[in-house]
Amino acid sequence: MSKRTGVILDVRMQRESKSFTDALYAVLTAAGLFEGPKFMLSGLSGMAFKFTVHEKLLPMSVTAYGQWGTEHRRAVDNLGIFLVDDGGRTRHDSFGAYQRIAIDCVKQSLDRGLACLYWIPEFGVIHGYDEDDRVFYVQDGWSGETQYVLYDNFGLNFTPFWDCMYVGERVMIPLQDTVLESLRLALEDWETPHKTLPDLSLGSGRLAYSFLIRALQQGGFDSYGAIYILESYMTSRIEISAYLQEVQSVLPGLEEVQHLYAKLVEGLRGPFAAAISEKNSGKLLMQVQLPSLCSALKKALELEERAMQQVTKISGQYPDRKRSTLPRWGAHTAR
Amino acid sequence: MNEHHNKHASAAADQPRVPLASSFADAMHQVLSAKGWFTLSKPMLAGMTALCFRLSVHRQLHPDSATAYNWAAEHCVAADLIGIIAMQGAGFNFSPTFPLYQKQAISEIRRSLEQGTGVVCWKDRFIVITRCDDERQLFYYTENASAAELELPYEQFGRNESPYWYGQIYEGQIRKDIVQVLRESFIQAVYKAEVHDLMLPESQYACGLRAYDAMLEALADNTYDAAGAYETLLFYAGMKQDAAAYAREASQYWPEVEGVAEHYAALAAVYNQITHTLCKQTVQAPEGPCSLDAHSLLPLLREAQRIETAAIQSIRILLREPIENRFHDVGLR
Repeated sequence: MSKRTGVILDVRMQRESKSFTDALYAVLTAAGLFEGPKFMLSGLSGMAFKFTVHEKLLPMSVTAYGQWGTEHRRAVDNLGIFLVDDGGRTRHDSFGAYQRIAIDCVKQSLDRGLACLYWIPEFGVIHGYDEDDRVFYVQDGWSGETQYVLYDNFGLNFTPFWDCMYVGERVMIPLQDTVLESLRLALEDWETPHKTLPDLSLGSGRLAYSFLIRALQQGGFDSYGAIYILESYMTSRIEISAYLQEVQSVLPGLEEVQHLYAKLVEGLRGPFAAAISEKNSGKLLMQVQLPSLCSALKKALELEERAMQQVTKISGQYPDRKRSTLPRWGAHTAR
Repeated sequence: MNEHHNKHASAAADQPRVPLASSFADAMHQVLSAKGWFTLSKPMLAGMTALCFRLSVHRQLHPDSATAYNWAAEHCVAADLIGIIAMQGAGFNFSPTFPLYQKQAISEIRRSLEQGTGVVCWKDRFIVITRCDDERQLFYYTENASAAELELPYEQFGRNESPYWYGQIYEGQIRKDIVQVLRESFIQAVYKAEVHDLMLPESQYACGLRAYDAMLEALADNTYDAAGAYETLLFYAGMKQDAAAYAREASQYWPEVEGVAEHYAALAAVYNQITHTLCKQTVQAPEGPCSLDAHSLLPLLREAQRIETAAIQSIRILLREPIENRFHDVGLR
């Protein structure tokens, strides 16, 4: 019996947060590159604060929080971790060449003991490969089961793009710096209405609330998407509250932000539980509860606005070289 | 503001008056032609990659005008348009994670050099790393194709005066149909003329045809940085020469583009006059360009604006169908 070539890493991804956060947490904890609970990773990376809503509440809202290259680089950078982000549009004629390179990069990463993040969609992890069968082992975090992706199908999916990320070494960044940067990432997301211009059908941060409330009031939205967006939003706010509870002493003035998010979460629990009912067949949005859900969301918007005003004050106390220096990368329209 | 002026003016006076910012297309052409992956002229590369069609300026014409653009986005598209498989990296060199990226970049650059492929990097301008010496732990690089090799110690990679590190590595190429490449490059020219670079705050920078309004305003109101304006105009004059040469050569492969080429020939002629005006002043005032001959430059820039607008309009007419098929996102391939 010949020895088979390949690797299987002991990685367990579990969907609880945003798919990118869940995948990143699985990859980093397996590699010993992050210690602590998931809400800390979600908070420190700024991922928890990301909130984007499509005007028709399509489920893609939850991953449409910006251009991944830019967003994920900054998120992982704030954890002090090296990241290579590889991706593009599968319709471009260079895709085949990039696909071959990426397949090699994934295998090299796995050989070094590092699982990869991969757009299935949504984000999952590649935690192994078998060279004889030419397959990758992929987890989506929903079921505990492994899916198989043929090398030849790597990157192909029903969305127009492919994306794969490899992590590397870590440098230690002082906690205060990381927390401050996470707040600034949050503030930027809050204040940027459209993160994927020229697309105006997606609203982010403050505007995401308006899009969500308006759609719930007007109807005609994607009902699966509505539940997915609401639950993801709620999970994120619980994460933020837990994160701030943990780090509130790191920066003066942060306690107030924590109080506001704790209050926000408390105010949402009842209306959310009433609006989303669990049936045997799945979850259902209760029409009759939507007015009270909307008024709870309006209160949450006010609280988050106050929290961000306080974040602005905190941020202003310290120099911000990253935002006072014009970059040579970042936001652009897709080409 | 005045201190800023003087600093640049005196710096410019100490140095020979050549455009300081050699363009990315020069560096890319140096690498790809040495490798045999691109056999046409430099203007053909500047055009086919659409690099020569970019026009963006700081509203007071600061010296960063020529290089303040989204390198990551533009250079990725540039390589893809001509079928070159590339990877790139960029970041702030003051970021805590910079040492990790520097280490990876050094290893990737050495790997590329082993395969006989030079690497385009940022060292306060775009340069080409041509060789390395592992024993002495240094790279050799050139600032342009005809310049002598200089040394760059490995640990100095990315540690620039400007806060950026950047590198692009070429991995291979795929076959492309030249007429398709030419067509796409002209569509990208429309995109660059009409769409603001999202990376640049609109309050401080202007892009595409709108850059002319900013330049005219700065010159008319005397709110420009003289040394920066001088460098910027010379730089873009070079880009327009490339665009004209490109459009002319392109019409050999694709005769329908001849009408467009005529506009770019006229545009280059106006920029020649702009260059002439700038250089004449330098001869008259060798102590340094503390101010420009705005009186002569204004009508020339207005003429350039008129011609470049007509050039873009002629491309829109020539490529009406593929452009309209892209609805509100002209650049999206």
